[in-house]
Amino acid sequence: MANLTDIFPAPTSNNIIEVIEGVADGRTVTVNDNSYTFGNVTTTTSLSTSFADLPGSSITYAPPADTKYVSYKCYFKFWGIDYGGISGYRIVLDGTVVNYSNRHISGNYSNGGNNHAQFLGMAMFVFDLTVSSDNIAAGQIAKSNWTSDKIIKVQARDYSSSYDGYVNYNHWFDGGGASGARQKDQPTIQIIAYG
Amino acid sequence: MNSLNNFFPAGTSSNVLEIIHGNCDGRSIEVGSGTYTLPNVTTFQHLSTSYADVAGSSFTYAPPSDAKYVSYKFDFHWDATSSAGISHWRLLVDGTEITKAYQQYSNNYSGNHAHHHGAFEATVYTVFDLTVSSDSAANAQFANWTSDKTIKVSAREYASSYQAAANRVEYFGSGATFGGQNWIPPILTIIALS
Repeated sequence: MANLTDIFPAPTSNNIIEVIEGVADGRTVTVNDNSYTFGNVTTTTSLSTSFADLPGSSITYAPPADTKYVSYKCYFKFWGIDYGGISGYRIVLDGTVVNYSNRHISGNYSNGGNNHAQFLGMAMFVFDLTVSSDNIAAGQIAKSNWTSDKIIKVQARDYSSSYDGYVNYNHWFDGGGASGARQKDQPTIQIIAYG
Repeated sequence: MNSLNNFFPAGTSSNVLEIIHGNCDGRSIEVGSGTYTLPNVTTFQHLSTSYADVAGSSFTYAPPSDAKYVSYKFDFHWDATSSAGISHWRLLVDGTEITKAYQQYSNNYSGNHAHHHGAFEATVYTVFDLTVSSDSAANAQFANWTSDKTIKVSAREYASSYQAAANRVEYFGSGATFGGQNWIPPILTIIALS
């Protein structure tokens, strides 16, 4: 015997359509019959003075048909190794930079080799799909233009060669240096589609 | 005419009643309880030594009738503009400070007030408890939240030698800013839970 909800689907009780969330350890998450494979971060990364993809931040996603907003969030570990490690971060949607996501993080300047600043960095943006035309630099993309997979990721760089930062790196542990699984810090990615 | 749900109530898929979540760029978000327009932040904000409202943080809301908890979260970019940028961030509901939501943000002091490189993502956050029997705004407790209340963040610097800014991107790549944009809109998240 069929369930009543097979014939009359239960309405969603809130405006969340789906949540995809995971650690960049290579896992595959299946939501609503679609599978998403996260990056697999196996080492730490020193930034350079050119923008490069932040390892583990990338996810390929096509939102459900009735989506109005897509929230993307990436938590990553930062270490300022030179003079505070001033570094810039930006979110890129299918190759186009979302300027409204530009941010920098840094510890304070130290000229004594005291490069201790370590904390979680976060890049987040809520894409607006209710618009009628695209302005991806402002995070606006018409739903009719996001019907197939697009890649969302974070790119990062040092401010200059004098201000070097690392990502995905825990430098210390229990009074000494971190190593192995404690040293590499895998980013966490979250996607929420709102109706 | 009756609804089918009057006879066969739909199963609740979770205890989340609604979420209003977006960048403070003036967008309007429609959820079950209404349509909400987020603030439109178009520049950064230097703090002073007096408390002032933080741009983008203000949100006026009346939760659905069956809400038991309301979560308010204001994510913004914190930037030291002088020294360690010691700064104080209070959360207010209809003008009353929620004392346990207070945040102090700062970076390390280098020994030189001219060194102000500190910058990170910061949050002011609380969860209102609507299951209580009487109101205590200072404790984020409301027994009868049936009409609009305004929630916002108010901030100041510790002193004129420890300065900070909200929503400011001071260094991005060589040339300090990117594309002429030296600010970033904050993000508001309101969640009503049953």
